[in-house]
Amino acid sequence: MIGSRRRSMILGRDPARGQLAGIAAAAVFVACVALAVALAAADSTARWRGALARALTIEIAPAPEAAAQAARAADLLRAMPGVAAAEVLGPERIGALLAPWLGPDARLEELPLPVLLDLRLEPGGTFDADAARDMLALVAPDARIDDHRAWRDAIARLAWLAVGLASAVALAAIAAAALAIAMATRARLAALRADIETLHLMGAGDGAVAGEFAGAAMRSTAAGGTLGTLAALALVAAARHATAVGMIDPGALPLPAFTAFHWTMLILPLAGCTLLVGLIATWIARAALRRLP
Amino acid sequence: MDPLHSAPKAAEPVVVFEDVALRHGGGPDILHDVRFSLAAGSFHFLTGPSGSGKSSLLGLICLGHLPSHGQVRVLGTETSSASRAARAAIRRRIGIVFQDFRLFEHLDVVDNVALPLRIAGKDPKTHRKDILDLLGWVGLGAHLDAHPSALSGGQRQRLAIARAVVARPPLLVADEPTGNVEAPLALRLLYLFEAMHRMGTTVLVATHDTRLASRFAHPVLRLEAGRVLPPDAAGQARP
Ligand SMILES: Nc1ncnc2c1ncn2[C@@H]1O[C@H](COP(=O)(O)OP(=O)(O)OP(=O)(O)O)[C@@H](O)[C@H]1O
Ligand SMILES: [Mg+2]
Repeated sequence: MIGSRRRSMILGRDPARGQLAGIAAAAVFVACVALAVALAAADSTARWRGALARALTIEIAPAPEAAAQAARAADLLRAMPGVAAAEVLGPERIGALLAPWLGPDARLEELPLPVLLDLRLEPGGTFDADAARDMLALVAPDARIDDHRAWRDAIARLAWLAVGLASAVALAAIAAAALAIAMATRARLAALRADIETLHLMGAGDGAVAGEFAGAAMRSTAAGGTLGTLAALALVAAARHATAVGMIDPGALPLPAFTAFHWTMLILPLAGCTLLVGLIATWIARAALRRLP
Repeated sequence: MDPLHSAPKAAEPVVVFEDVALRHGGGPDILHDVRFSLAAGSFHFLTGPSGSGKSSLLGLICLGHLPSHGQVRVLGTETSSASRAARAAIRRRIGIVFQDFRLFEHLDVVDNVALPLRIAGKDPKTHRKDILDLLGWVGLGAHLDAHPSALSGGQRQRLAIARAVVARPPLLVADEPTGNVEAPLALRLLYLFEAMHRMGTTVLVATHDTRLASRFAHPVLRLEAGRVLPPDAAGQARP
């Protein structure tokens, strides 16, 4: 930049700066929302997977002695290291869980319901799954252990898909904006050709002239991008509020507790877009200046 | 010859042309076999008919063009081989009055004049009094906030001159600086260059107005058929 920032801009205001800011605002808004979705997806799936990894379900097939077997197994499991809780879900509990699907009039006692044993593990614990399996084989030969691995893998794949899609949307939005702004920058350069040449002849260095030129494009981008970011943050905050007050089912829209890290990440599209525009405008201006002696 | 021209300065001439030719793009040579030098502290006129290449020759001095043949040395540096940064540094030491003014429409009169100071990395605020004095001198004291488009042709010319001299460059190059003003004002503006010259600035003024040039006792370089005639021959050629 030539001279202090408080002085008037040598190259004048770009008449298209409003449109430039608009493009940046729209792109940064889209990228910001997509990034919030990616963060939310990554975060909540990590939590789900963590929770699933710390829970095992043991299913004992319907049989007269099933309940007794479950009770014994639960006692033995509770004594094992790394086990936080072992709870037997008898037919009544399972019936209660199934009631919404079967209707209130279903005669549950006539259904052959298995006995479930809900096992919760201590986080980072030292649970020995093989030992548990051996023990169960003795106590309840018909027991089946479900460690939710299939679920965990499916959720992991889903999470990466969501993160990948959202990141692609964010990158595409920023790239589209940067390209559009690059085109506008070229038009601006053509309009400023004479003034830029004059600055060059007056002894302004390439860096200073390119900085003067790129500074204007970056200011427009930053202004629009800030609006886009604020709009996206407002949208995320509104969604979080709606979830908190129960307007939206938290299961349908899992929004993680946004930490300083998350909020900081949401500034990335603004910073990235502004930086990219600065680089492109500098590059275009320098290429034009190099054609002068 | 004026006394300052032969002032006891052992220094190298400020401008040296050696066997210089210039062509624009793939066109014919506009200038060829040009040799001359401007001693430090000298004042020269450059005359020649329209299209003879005066602006092109000034462009070589201001590093707006590089010679297609030969060598141009300005302020001690050979222009063709100098780095881009070195060229920019030389340009900052040259005050230019462009034939087409090249003022910045978005800046007012004061900011236009302050521009060379900004480019030199100086704070124009600390030079505000100098700027206002200078603008008063060229008769623009009442138009400080005006933008160039609101000025008359002659006022713009004076603004261009004020901008060229504000940073007190060691070399001042003016392309038709009196083309848009009446004779009395033209003379007054040339006296401004004269004052710069007395303070040690090397001055070159291109003009097609040989009558105006003849009112000063400064040597005249004449451009004819793409070549620069030596000052003496030009002096004799004058009616
Ligand atoms: N950028 C350019 N590209 C091609 N030809 C040019 C260019 N600039 C000048 N010329 C040609 O060079 C020749 C000299 O032009 P120049 O402007 O140097 O003349 P001049 O003596 O300054 O004329 P005037 O008195 O009208 O200002 C002209 O024939 C012109 O057409
Ligand atoms: Mg000319």
